Amino acid sequence: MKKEIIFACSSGIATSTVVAEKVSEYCQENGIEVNARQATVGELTGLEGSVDLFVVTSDVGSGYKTPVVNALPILTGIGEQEILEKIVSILKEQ
Amino acid sequence: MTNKVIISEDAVFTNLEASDKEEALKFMSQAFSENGYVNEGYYESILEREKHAPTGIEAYDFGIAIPHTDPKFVNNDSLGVAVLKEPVIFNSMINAKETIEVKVIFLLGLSKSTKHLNILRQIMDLIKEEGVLKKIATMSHDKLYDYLKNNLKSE
Repeated sequence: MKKEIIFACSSGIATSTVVAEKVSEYCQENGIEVNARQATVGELTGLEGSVDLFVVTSDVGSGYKTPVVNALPILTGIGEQEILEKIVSILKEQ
Repeated sequence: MTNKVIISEDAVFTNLEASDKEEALKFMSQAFSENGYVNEGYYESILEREKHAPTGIEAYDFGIAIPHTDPKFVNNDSLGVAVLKEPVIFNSMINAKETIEVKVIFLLGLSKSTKHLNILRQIMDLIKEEGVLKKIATMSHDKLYDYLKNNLKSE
């Protein structure tokens, strides 16, 4: 299974990179190959509908056609496992 | 300038007294600029960034913040750490309307190199362990500086 995920933060380079590595690794362990791309929060509107999931570490608002997961727990460690599992389950259900 | 991420001794603060985040970040930015790690405009740009893209995070033990800005203001990858005497208010990274009482600030001077990702990853790995921030908050200046040097690889 191959899925496309956009990782977004305010700069598109800092926290999103850290999160992208963790998520891609976890997905791979669970049989999902991830095509990871990074974006700034402002670019999300133009990308919605074109990928499987947005994983974000900034305030992006709501109402996107693409599912959005808040990945802050992956940075803080609080609730990290639950978020990783949630990401895998969203991707597998699609 | 070297390619290393510099954890500068004078950019490490313990028991820093600041009435708000602006004051705390001013102290920290000054330490960077006095050493030439950042350009003019770094401080203003950090504050501007916090307005639009806040960096407060509720971590184990305490709230923390990881302010950073456009690489164009940065000459050399650098890390400043401040443990505040009393917490200051930052807005939350994931919900800008929420406020977070921040006790420890990790100020990142991120240049165009990819090294900053390494240091960010290491900071996040460090604070993910419950109790680490509490430990950091009680350290003396010298102890904290040594701790950071020993636990964060600068390359």
